[in-house]
Order: sequence, then C-alpha cells, then structure tokens
Amino acid sequence: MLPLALITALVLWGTMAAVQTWSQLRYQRVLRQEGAQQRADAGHNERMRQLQAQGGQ
Amino acid sequence: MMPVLRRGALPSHGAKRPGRSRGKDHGLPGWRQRMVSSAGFTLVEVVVSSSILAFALAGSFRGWSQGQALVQQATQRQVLLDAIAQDLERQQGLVIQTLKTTLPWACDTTLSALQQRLQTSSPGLPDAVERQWLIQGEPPVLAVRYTAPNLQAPRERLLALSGGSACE
Repeated sequence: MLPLALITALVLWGTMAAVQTWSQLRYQRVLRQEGAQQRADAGHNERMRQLQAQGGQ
Repeated sequence: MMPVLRRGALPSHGAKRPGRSRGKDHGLPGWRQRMVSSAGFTLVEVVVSSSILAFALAGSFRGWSQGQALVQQATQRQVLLDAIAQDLERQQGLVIQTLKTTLPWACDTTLSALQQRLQTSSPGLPDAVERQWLIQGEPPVLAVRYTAPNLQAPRERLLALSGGSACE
C-alpha cells in the first residue's frame, strides 16, 4: 500500500509540476510579446523622428 | 472465527519489527500486530499512505489552481495586446488613407484635422483599454497612446508627422 501511495503521489506531483511549468511558459510568452511590441514601437518612433529631422533640414 | 483471523493474519509483520516501538504504542502490547483489514495492512501503513495521498492531492490541487489563474491572466493580457495591435493597424491605415486621398495637399492637412478624423471613426476597443491621440514634440507629431491597467507600460506610436521630407 505504501509504494502505491508513493507512486500515486509522485504522479500527482509530476502532473502538477507539468501544469505549472506550462502555465508559466504561457505567461512568459505573453510577456515576451508585450516586450516585443514595446521595442517595435520604440523603433518605429525613432524612425519617424529621424524622418522628421531629415524633413526639417 | 473472526478473532482468530484478525490475530492470526500475517504474524511475520509483528515478528519482523519487534524493536521498532514508538512512544505511542508502548501501552498497547501487540498493537502493531492488529490488522486493519483482511488485506494485511497495518494501521500505521494505512495512516501514513493516506496522509501522503492527502498531501499530494492538496498540493496538486493548489498547483493546478495556481496554474489556471496564471493561464487566465495570460489569456486576458493576450486579448488586450491583440486588440491594441489590431486597433493600431487600423489607425495607421486610416492615417495613410487620409493622406493618400488628399495627396497633393497632404502637407496642408493639419495634424489636428487628422486627429479629428480619427476620433470620429473609432470602432470599439475592450473597455479596459483607454486610447488617446496627442500632438507632441517641437515639430509636432500625431501620436496614439494605449493604456490599460493590465499592461505593464502604455503603448505609444507616432502616426503622422507635420511636414516631413515629402513636403520639401
């Protein structure tokens, strides 16, 4: 009975760890997407400012 | 018949562990030999394994619900990000279209007129997202900014320049 309980506990723990890892990966992917959007905005704005500086000269 | 079965089942268990007496059971001689059921498990085994199972169940449930909360948060954020990206594309498209349709006089189109036009044609965003147009900078520039409480930083993008190289 004790080995059976240990195995069951191990399986449960493993499942829980897998679920948590997966959800953390998912969350981090969204965070990365947000960061990429911010960087894209910064690049775009920089280009626009350069364009404006060229136009003003 | 029953007492004989209960006392007689697997006597080797008791014989195997005579030295391991804990403080709990020294008052009960032969306590360890008592079988919980005819399957041959001692009470200690049942208690230990069921508490292991209970802890494992509780822990996995906690982990599961934490993971679910995280996934839900991520999904909400993703929805906001997608809506903002879509709206931004629409705004940019509208600006480009406006400047193209008034091409010879595009340099005469003022940024405030462009802003007015964007404001009048603005289909819905999620309620959490706030969108504002602003004219900023020394040579003025029309920018759009999105803020939402769920996002870590506002998204800001320049949409149109006043003047620019095309007007030289």
